[in-house]
Amino acid sequence: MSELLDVFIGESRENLESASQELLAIQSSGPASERVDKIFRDLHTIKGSSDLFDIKPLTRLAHAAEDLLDSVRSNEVTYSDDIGDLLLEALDQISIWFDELEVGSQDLEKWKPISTQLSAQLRHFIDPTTPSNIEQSNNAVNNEGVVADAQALSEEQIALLASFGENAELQLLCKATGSHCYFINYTPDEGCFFRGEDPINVAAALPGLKALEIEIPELAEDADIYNCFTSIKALGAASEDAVKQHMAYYEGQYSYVIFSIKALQAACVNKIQKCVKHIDDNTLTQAINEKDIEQVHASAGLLLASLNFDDSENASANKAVLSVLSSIDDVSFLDNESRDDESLSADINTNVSSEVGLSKANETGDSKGEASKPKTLALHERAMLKQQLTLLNSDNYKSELMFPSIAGLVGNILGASFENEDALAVAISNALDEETIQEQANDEQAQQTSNDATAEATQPANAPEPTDDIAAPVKAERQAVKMLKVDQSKIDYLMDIVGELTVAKNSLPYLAKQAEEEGGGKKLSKQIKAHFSIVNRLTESLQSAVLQIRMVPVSHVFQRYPRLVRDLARKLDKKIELCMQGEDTEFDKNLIESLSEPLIHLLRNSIDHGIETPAERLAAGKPEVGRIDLIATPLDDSVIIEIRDDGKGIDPHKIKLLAFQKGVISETQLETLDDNEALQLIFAAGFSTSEQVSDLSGRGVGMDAVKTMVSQAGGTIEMQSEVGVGSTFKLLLPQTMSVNRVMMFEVNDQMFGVGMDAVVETVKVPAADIQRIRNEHVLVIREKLIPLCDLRVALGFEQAGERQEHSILVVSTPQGEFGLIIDKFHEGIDVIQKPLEGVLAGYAHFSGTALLGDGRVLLIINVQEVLAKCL
Amino acid sequence: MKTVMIVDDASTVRLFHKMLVSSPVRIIEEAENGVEALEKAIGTSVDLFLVDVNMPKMDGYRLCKEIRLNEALRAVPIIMISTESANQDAERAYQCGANYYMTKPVDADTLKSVVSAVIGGEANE
Amino acid sequence: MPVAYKKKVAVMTGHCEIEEAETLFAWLNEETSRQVNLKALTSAHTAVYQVLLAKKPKVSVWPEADALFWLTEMMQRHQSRVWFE
Repeated sequence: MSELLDVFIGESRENLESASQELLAIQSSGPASERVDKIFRDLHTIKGSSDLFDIKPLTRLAHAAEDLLDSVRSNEVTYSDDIGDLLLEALDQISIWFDELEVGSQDLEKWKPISTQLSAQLRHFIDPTTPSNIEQSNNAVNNEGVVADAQALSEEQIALLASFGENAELQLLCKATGSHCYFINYTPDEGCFFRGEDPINVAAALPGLKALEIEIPELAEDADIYNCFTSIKALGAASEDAVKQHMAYYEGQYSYVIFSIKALQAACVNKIQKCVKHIDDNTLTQAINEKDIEQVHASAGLLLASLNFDDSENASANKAVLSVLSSIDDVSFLDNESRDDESLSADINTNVSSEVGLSKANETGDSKGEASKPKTLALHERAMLKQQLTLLNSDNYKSELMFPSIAGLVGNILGASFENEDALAVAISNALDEETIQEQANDEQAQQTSNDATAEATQPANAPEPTDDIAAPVKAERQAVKMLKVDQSKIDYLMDIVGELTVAKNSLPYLAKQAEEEGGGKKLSKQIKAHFSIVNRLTESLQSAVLQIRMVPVSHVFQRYPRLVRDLARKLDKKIELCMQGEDTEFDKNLIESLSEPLIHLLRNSIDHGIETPAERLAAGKPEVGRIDLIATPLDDSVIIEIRDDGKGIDPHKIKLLAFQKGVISETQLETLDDNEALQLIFAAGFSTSEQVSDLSGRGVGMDAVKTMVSQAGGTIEMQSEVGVGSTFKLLLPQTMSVNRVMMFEVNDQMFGVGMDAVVETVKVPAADIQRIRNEHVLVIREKLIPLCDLRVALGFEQAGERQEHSILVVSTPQGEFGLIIDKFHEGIDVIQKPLEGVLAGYAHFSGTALLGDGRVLLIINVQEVLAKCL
Repeated sequence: MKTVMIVDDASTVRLFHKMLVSSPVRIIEEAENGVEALEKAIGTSVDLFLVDVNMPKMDGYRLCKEIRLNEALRAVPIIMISTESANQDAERAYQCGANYYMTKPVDADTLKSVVSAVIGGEANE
Repeated sequence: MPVAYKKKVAVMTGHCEIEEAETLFAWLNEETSRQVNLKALTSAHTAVYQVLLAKKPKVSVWPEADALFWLTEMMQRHQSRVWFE
């Protein structure tokens, strides 16, 4: 440590020497800008280095000199010999102080007034309205914010309040609102009237004014009444900023002191407690103890009205206390045992490390760093990660130049390597998310342990770090209990097992039945069924719980989009803003990709075809910057994702025409379809509105592909649009891979499934009942006409031979009820439906697969797609 | 062994930061300004730059840009340490290629933690 | 006229600027029994308040204006301190 001091003094003496030389040179040959600059740098260095030690008066003086030099070098202030002389004086003073530092004989108390005086004089050159007189500038120096947040009033403050009268602190507490109070001593200059000042009115208009004291001496008859003899004191509740702002023009004529309401409360505790005891009203006392605020108000108010207050001291105090109690917001501060003022003011001194000697450069006592660093991200790691993410997403991000260092830095913190920005961004978000959860947990504990911690910290400082040392291990311990960091693969494994369990349990009812039939007896069968029901319930809960663990906020996916949008927009010379909402809506981690794909396509479409160029937009009376809203909202077990743009909308007529040209609709339809139906055509198979495949949209993905993706994921998509106004897409997607109940059936000796919620009924009808209307087979059930679809054909199997009977699965769709002709019915089971992957993903008629108990794979049909193929 | 290069024109500050981040498993290099920093860095392997803003010959902002333009040095993280605390100053640092920005005087523990986070390895016990 | 000087009463009306202070001060100095009527006074420059608070003349009618409640308190109770609600 003394090595640091030595280096500091050594270096700074050089700076002083160099500065003095330059000043002398200036005095003889004028203020050349390089010279001024050099002196500025020297003082800047001295100021910066001195800040590492606790020698504030020296730092302040250097700062004042630096500021003056800054003004000179930027030509705001003209150099003069007076300035030169004063600077030399300052340099000399600093040199003297260095001498003292070298031998250890420095006396900061003696330094302070010298520093204040010289600094004021230096600053006076910058701004002549700054008083160069110690007394007044003293106030500005003394009132630096440290005191404002003290937990207790200082002696001085208590005295000031007392000067406002007996019980002034209570009165102020009673009337004050907000977080801070002020005391102002305003002593206008005698000649202030000639400057157009009007002090009493200024004081009367103070923000949050609660009390005013105006002192005017006796005036002799021949006194000059145009001189100001008034002095004013004011007490009020407002922030330091508000006070300073109000009194801005009067700097130098007033001094102020700010203290917190908390400190005020602490100061009043004794009195309040005493008075309450003295008043001796059970209801009131009890109400205070129970912290029943309403009751406190009520009792205090009642007592205030009913008690007779004589003129004794006690009475006025009691009255003041009751006034306070009748309108106070919170009585918890009354709990505190009245503390030793000294111990509390130790809190203030944590800002000033005077006890520990000169240097702040404390290498020892580093245990703080270790103890409070849990195994997860440290505060600074988190801040750095956040910053890297910001850099990645910024407009000015240049991949080639910045990616290596960002990836390296993040890699070191997270212990991984990254191939591209997306992987990097997702990894950072994941890490930060987990930390947020942990932080919240920490905050809660911090609040619990903070009382303990402050109590520890009040031992007057020998070591400045007791707080963290003591609180940290406690925190770390509780943390371990609340949160666990888990490897994702473990969760996936858990999920798989749960999945198998779900399916396995399904065999139980069947086994129960078998047991009954093979002579095990009804009793056994019943027991098995009973147990099955318990196992069923437990499995469902288990599955639900595990799925919850896997839920992840959509922001993980969404956060890449703003950059995506920016890049695409830029390539097309369009201006587009992406606004996202509901990013913390949760989604199953594994399904989130199924969400991302359609969204990206829709975004691309909006940017490519939806939002117009800036010129077009302006011509259409729209703001130049196009807007895309991406909103995620949870709804029961699903999530609604809305993509809205204010672009040119989709023209139903154009769609109809194109659809007709492509043979998707007939001529009659061209005439009969209304606008809404026309718009829905974009989802039709084989439909694409862009003549050329835009290279931005990749494979020129049309809406039909998007619709398929959404269906595959088990969701639905809707679209609304208005020409010239914009388009809105709404996706409804299931949030988790939930358990579905499916009905199994057989076609061509293969097992298939259909979601149970679509099934209306199952019927077996004689072949004769099936009728033909035009080209379609239909069935009449209870006077309803049900169009039929032969699944054998729809699924691509050979037609069956003639049959006597047909098994028909009646399903319900938004378009009405339809019948599926199948071979055989089977029972309904619970399965966890997985979306199709890989090659199968291209088959639109299946919405997913499920694993059966015996290892077979069940293909679950997508009713609507199948019907579309059929009819 | 990881190398940290401390770039600042004030020897006191260089020493202060060096005292904070040195350890048996780290090499600390120093430079007084951007020019010296580049000279020393090219040809050695630097794992982290701690860069002051106000320096003669080449200031911190320019040094950042040069580091990023240099293929060999590009991947090295840069932490800028400056007396200025305004948002624009941090912004400017980031635009010039800094990864992180801290204001002087740095909190001792913060600097230690930050450096440890970036290059690993413990600081002084 | 912001200050209307009657035989024994100075009636102050509306806002009284700094200029009024000198005359008022001299007028009050001439005769200690002279009074002021503050009924219609709404506001005044510090110099004027200074005169009123220094001389503490008898007040025939107190100000109606709410904003001057502090002036009333101070002059009525002969105290230099006032608490606001």
